[in-house]
Amino acid sequence: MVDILSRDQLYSLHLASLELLEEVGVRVLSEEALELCDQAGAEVDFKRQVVRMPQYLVEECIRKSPHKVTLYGRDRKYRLYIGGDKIYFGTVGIGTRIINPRTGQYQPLTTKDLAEITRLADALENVDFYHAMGTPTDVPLEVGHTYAWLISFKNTGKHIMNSLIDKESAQVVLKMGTIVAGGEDELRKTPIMTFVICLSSPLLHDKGATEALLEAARFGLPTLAESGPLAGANSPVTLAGTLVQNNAEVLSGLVLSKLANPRSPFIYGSWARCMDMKTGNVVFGGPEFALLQMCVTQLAHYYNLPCAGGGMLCDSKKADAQSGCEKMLTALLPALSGGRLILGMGLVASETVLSFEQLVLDNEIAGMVKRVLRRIDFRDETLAVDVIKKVGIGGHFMAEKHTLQHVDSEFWLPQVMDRYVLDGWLKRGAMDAQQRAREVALQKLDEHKPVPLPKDISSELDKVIGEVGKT
Amino acid sequence: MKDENKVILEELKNAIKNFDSDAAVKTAKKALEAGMDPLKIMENGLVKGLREVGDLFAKGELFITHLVAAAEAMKSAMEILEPALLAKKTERKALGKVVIGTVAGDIHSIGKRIVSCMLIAHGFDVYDIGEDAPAELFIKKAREVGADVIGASALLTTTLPAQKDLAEAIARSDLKVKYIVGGAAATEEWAKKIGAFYAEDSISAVEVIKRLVGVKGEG
Repeated sequence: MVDILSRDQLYSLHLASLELLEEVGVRVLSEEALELCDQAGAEVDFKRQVVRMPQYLVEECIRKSPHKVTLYGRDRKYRLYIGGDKIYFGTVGIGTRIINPRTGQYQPLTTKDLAEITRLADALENVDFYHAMGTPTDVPLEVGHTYAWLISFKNTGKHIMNSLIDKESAQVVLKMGTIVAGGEDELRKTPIMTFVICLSSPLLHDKGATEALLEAARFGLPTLAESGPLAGANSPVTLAGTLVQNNAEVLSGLVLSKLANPRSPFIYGSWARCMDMKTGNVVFGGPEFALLQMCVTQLAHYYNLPCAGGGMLCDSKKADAQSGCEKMLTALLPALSGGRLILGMGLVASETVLSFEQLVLDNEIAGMVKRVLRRIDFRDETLAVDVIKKVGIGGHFMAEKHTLQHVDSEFWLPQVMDRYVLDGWLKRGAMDAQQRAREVALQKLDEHKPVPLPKDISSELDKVIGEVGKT
Repeated sequence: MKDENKVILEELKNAIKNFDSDAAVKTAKKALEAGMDPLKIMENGLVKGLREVGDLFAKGELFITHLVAAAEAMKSAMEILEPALLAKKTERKALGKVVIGTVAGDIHSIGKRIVSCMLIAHGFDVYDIGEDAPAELFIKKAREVGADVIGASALLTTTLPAQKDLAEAIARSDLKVKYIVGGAAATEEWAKKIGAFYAEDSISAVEVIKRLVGVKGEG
């Protein structure tokens, strides 16, 4: 694995974050959370809603948190072991628009689109888990998030996650998860979903996110809490300074979660990134984001906590050369920094637009990265001295038993990358990567059916959503 | 004009160009003590400096952080000048008055802050009412200052409805203001749906707002 930070530097980051939490603290806009902190011995200013966390409390909470979590899919063949050295890729999204694969037009995201692209994610083998990729715009805005969960349950058997914005929606989604898992204990034992909680910067937790975090912790459901400061805007322009603040924010989330329930699995998450100095926009595709994500992985490992964060993201508005560079850069580098979840597949325009073509290409990128991570199989059998001796000078290896035995595991085979000679490519229509990815997407949509949700469960979920719609 | 005053104006301009709030405040005080007209201090000193910074930003020679820092320096100096301006009952010649805030339920401030600074740099009077701001607060402030434009930011899709609530509140009121929305969650279609104007980023926000207040071309 590639280490950007030394052990000493990690310790320095840790100490700096503790200093911030103890001296400045965090503003927590939830009475409930303030009470918890007060009872635990933190210094709480109820009027300013600021919590100063003593070092021992933060360190105690880090120690208490589970080091490993197993996440399950509704379809039991999907299982993720996080907290170790395994790397998993999945989708992400706060999208409200989608590129129509048939016309190339950017359109408002509908429930039908979201269901369709979820099915595609279900079909692609390197999508290890599914984060709802956007919020449909054809249902009332207030329930868009809840619908995204419903669509996820119905259209993929993989582990699902999505952000939660307040206590009420957290309760509704927990109800849905309980129905799908077949009971509360079952949901706790085999968590088929993870709550994603977004903390704000600098050092600020809003009411909805905080209370959703507490709700998930109390239930005992895995929670991925992340903060995503923008270097140069709401965190220091220096990457090291942004890491200090980001770490303090995530650790304060960890403390809140542990105070609600020490047993609940907590996933250290980060979207630490930069502001573009020309436009003021959020930047994901650059080298700084890749570096930051490598460092936060190291930090999570330093704490022995399961880790997740953004990666394989791009600022490009469609599947093109820019998206290819940015996605590979921000997928491969964080993956080289150690075990974690990498969230970013299928989104373009900095997480705001869903693309069928990009999802297929991202599946391809994940395949390449996974092959790199498997490294080189190194043993007598693979050193192949016997075979080289046997073939001798001037022969070939194509028909050797050794070749046939190992070819499947040694080589990654592309689905979209073109490897024909020029004339072969011309003859096949001279299609670029985006066009080829579109064909793969449409074909998979045609062929693939996710493991269906039993009818009675499906209609129970509809009932739950129906009640939400009414209030 | 006295030579000494010319020097002070130059110092004020440079304070803004050096993004130096302390120097801007100090020099603004010095200018008042020297008996200079507050309006002139502002227009021939501070605004000139800010305009030069804005031009360099537009040319790509300065970063957005420089622009924000220059606008903040100007804001600090304006706090010194404000009482003197009021006392003389002089209206400053702004391109227009904009009340800006992040809507109820949303605590994100960065995008709104950048837009504010860009507007200040282009010669608008900006009244930032902060984050998690209820519709009534937008309306109250707009009435109080006689705003031309109300700008509302929303980062979360879940807080978009608050932009709609504000649209309705403005429609119900007697205010003659233009309403513009922005933020990561807002889109052109959404703005159209709620009857608001829309800007996708800070640069376009300035362009759209200039158009809304009837400024032609680059001013």
